[in-house]
Amino acid sequence: MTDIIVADELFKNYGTFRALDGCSLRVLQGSVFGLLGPNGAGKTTLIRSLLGFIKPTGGSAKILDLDCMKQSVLVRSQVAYLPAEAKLFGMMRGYGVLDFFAAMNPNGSRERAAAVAKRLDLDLSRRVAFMSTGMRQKLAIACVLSSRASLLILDEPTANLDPNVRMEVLELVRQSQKDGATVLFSSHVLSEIEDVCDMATIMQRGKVITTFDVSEMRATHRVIGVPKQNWTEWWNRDSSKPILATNDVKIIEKTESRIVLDIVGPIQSHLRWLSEMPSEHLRIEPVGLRSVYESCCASS
Amino acid sequence: MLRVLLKKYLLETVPLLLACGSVLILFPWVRIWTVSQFELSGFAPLIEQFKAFEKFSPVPLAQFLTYEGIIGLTFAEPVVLLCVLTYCIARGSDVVSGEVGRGTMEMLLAQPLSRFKLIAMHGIVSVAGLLLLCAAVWTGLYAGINTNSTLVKQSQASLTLPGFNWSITNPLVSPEDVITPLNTLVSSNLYIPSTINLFALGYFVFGLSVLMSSWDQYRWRTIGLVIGTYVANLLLFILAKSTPSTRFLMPYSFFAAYQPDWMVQAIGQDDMPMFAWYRLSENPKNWISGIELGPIAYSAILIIIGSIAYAIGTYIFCRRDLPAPT
Repeated sequence: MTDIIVADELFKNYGTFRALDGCSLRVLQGSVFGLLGPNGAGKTTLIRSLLGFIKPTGGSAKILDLDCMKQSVLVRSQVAYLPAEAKLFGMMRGYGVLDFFAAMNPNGSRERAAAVAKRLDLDLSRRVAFMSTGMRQKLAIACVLSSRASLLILDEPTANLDPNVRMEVLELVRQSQKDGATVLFSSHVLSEIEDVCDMATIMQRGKVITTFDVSEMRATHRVIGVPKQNWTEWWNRDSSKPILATNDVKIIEKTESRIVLDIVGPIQSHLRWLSEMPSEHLRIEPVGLRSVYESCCASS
Repeated sequence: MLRVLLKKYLLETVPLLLACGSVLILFPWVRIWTVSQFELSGFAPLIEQFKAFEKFSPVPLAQFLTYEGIIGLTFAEPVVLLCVLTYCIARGSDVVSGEVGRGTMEMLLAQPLSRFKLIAMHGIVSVAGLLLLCAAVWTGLYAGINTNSTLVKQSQASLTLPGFNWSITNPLVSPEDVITPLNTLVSSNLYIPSTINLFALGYFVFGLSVLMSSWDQYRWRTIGLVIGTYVANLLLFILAKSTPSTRFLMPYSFFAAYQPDWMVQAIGQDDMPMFAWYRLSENPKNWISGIELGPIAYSAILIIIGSIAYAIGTYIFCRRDLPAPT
């Protein structure tokens, strides 16, 4: 598998404000890649740089080996992009919008778009100007997710949607992946990233803080113990050393009052060792994206 | 792809085009009908009252006592200018700042479409619409001239004495008002250069609007800037005409190249060729000594400046960062 998106040391300055600060990113072809970060982290700036809407101050970016700045038209012929809060032509009716985008994009299809719209329970006869925000979002999703483009870039695709439609959109994203597309999925909703993404990256202040395998994260458990006085004996004993030396066990926190460990992979093989920990309380829970996100944002 | 884009721009243009177009056909027609109801020589005393303001007029005020001149004034009517300028500013301001402000530029440029093609398609549709509007003005004039008649006072009947070639007024027959079709007094072709000049003015304003729109993200601001520039030029033009000492300001206002009334007079009465670029003159009214610019030259000046503004606007749009929709 090759990287479909390669961004190297991207910088974008707006006067003294640095929106992208040496942002580097690689997205594997065929994956669903999550883009996370607080407001103003640079997610949308990164996406807009990839599409050639804005010119980076420094660095380079390629999609399918095409330069995002110099060959942006070719890049966009391989990409279907859903902006955050997509705005459509108010004077057109729903089916007019589908016709327009199906004809504008070589990867588009009027029939597929209409099928997606039907799946999302959208009334296409209504004029866009008289549609609710959610209906407009559905219409934009129908235009984008019906595309057979190699890369789908979705910027907060489920904003303004009700829970049922959200589920449907996530299902459509999975379907697109099965059909061979790569998806760059930017969202604030951690559970969605956790549900659909294979890999994810967390951005903050224009930088990529961490990139991680979501499936690996799903198989990671966090062990939180409040140790008793004699815990160092347990920690330093011979049977503990090989366990702590493996990559499966990561020490997150180790103080007199608290031990926090992340255990990657099946937890069963470590249960016996953990049960011997001299601890007043022992809690084992799935790590979850929230923990990763919070720890990244707190540490940076 | 380009066909779809053309269709989109046509759909956006048609309502405004129909509204302005119908006004621009009907207004000259109705105006000519109104003019045809009067015997113009009756206005001579009234015109005499405004002699002090003649310097602000592009033509001698006596020109307004002729049907050619009074019909030519159509091109200076606020209704005509308002319709043409509304169309040009509305279309020109919409291309970048309008789409960016509405947030639709994002979805539009997410398609494999270059910015140059986008602005070019918009330009083709808008300029074609402007051509139609100017054609509508001329059609209105043509219809007005060919469907109206006016009362013309015949000169007193006279007799020519055979063998002497003397003409003697017949005092027994009083002069009569004769209903005369306007097309025997005025040719609608006389207004073709003025119509081209109106198109040139519209094209210039369109180019200026595209330039202002190309770097902006708020359409209201673009419209404000274009109208501000227009008003500033109008004031400059009036100032240039006010006194001999301020006359040097004339070339700095684009209104100096909008001379439809003068064209009617120059072609109709001073034998200026209809499509002349210039002619040599001992007493030129223009800026270059010894040369009097012709109707085509005036229009060409506006079209060239408008094209330069359009080209700069295109360059800016193709290179700028697009702001995210708000």
